[in-house]
Amino acid sequence: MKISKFITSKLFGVSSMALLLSATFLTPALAEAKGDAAKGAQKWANNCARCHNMRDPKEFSDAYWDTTVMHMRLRAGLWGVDERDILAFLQASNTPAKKVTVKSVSVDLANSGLSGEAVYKSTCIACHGGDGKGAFPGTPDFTKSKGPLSKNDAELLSNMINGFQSPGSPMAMPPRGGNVSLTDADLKAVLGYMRTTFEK
Amino acid sequence: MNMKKSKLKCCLLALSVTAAIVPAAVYADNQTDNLRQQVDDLQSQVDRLENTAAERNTDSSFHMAGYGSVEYADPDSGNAAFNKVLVAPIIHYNYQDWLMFETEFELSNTADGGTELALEYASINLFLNDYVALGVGKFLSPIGQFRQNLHPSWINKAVSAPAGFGHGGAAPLTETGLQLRGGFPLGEMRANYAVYVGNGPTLAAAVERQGGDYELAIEEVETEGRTSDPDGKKSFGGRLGLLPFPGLEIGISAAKGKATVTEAFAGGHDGPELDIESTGEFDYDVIGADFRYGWNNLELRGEYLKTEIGEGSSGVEFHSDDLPADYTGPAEFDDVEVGQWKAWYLQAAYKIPSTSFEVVVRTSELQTPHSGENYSQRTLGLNYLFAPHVVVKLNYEIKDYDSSGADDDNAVRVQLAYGF
Repeated sequence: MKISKFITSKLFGVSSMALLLSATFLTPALAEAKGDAAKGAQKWANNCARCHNMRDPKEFSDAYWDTTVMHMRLRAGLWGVDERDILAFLQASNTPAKKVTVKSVSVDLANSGLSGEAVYKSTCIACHGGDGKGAFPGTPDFTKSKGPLSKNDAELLSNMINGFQSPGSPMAMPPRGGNVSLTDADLKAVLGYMRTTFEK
Repeated sequence: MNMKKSKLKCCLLALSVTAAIVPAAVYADNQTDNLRQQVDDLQSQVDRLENTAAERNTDSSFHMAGYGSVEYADPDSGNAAFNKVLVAPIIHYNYQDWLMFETEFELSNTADGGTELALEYASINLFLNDYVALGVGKFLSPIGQFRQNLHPSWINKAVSAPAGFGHGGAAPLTETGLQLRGGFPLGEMRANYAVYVGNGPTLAAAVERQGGDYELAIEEVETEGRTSDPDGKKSFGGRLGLLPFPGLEIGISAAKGKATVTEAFAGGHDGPELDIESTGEFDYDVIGADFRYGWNNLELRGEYLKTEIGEGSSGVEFHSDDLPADYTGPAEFDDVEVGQWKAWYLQAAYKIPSTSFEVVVRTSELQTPHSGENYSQRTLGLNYLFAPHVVVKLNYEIKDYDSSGADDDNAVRVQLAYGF
């Protein structure tokens, strides 16, 4: 009995150590790369609602999000790259938009390096969904005749550039959808895509 | 005459120019002063922001989160009361990007005006790489989903926990030991996992009189993580979650170990305690499955857990010279009644479009070896979200006990919960 117990405990110890060592050394070390805010928007939308309501990206400061997302990595079983991408998105959402008025938005489609569809599918789709009806509760429905697309281009561009909270929505859309790398022309292009695809 | 006129014109012109230049110069000086002042102000703001940024860019960060809730219940079987006030502060402290300490306390008031304090969890977590975090300490059991991720009041869609997923149910609560957690890609799918080894549960037993005979039965599997391991054998288990596509998560859980009887009572938990001299080891096995599917404003959830206590290696013996005076049962039981604790729930939540209202329907059931404790619970709820993390819930809860001897206990429950 004692021998059996000794062998069992040793086997258990060796197995545990083997698991720990393999998990530690057979997978890549912590990456130093910065997060990708555009991917982070998608991951944020896909993962946070698995357990709780989506919280406003502008609710916490950059430093607060830093620790919060680290905690959420543990809770939700996220990968390290998920943590960095989501953090980049949330911190970008806190970055104040340049004070641009509707009139001063100078748009040159020729300067947009991305198609409207590419912008939508890389950034907007996270919250607005592939069908434009909203990926989670509170996101406005683009396909409704009296929905957001009933507004004129100038107002919508201003909202996209500066950030906007729809009535009844639990949280605000961050400036440039949380992807500060998008230019005004990119936003104009994606607006065109949304009108073509979703407007009734 | 003309010379005099010319001189006069020159003087007047000079006077006019002087009169115009002097105020302009004074105005320019004022403008310069104002601009200098503005630059100084901006410089001080920049300095302050730089200092703030420098403070934030430290190796260690501190963060306090948590949740609190207050509850009002109007049960059919008793008086309406403000029956619960709870605060659960959570402290996170991280060092760089590879270490996080996290702990949660739970403080709540009691029926007699006292306060209960519990350490929900406290663990040090090392992020070994992008896919593995090693945690040691006391942690929430990774078996299933409700206990580890859904029980906080601002997350739980209903006021109560589902039947069997609270304290004393079928779902393991916490564990003390070592845990590996993380996620990894699985082809086009995502996967997450948690595996642990810990001290495992203990058992509470009770001596009951059945007709003329006395029986010793396992009353409860006590799964609060403890800092001792009476059976000397570690328990291990975990959960694997698969996400075939965003919106759907399917999880399977299992745990295995040994447990011994550490508490025994005569006539149930409220009876006198019996001092245990020796006890056998009992098999401890848990299996479970859970799912979550979200589609637009609709969310469906379900979970099933079965905890089984198998036959013991030997019976239980009490100290015969230390039995309560009014105890008439034997001091030794060769056989102990064991069994299964099973619990499940299904839940649907629908957020009404363009409003802050959410409708919740949940049905759940607990089955134990003791018929008097088995019940089903159905909940119909209407939630109002002041914010994503501030919710007031109105529930009508129907609780049906299987045993005809137990009174059903329907109740109206109202809860205000805030996650911070």
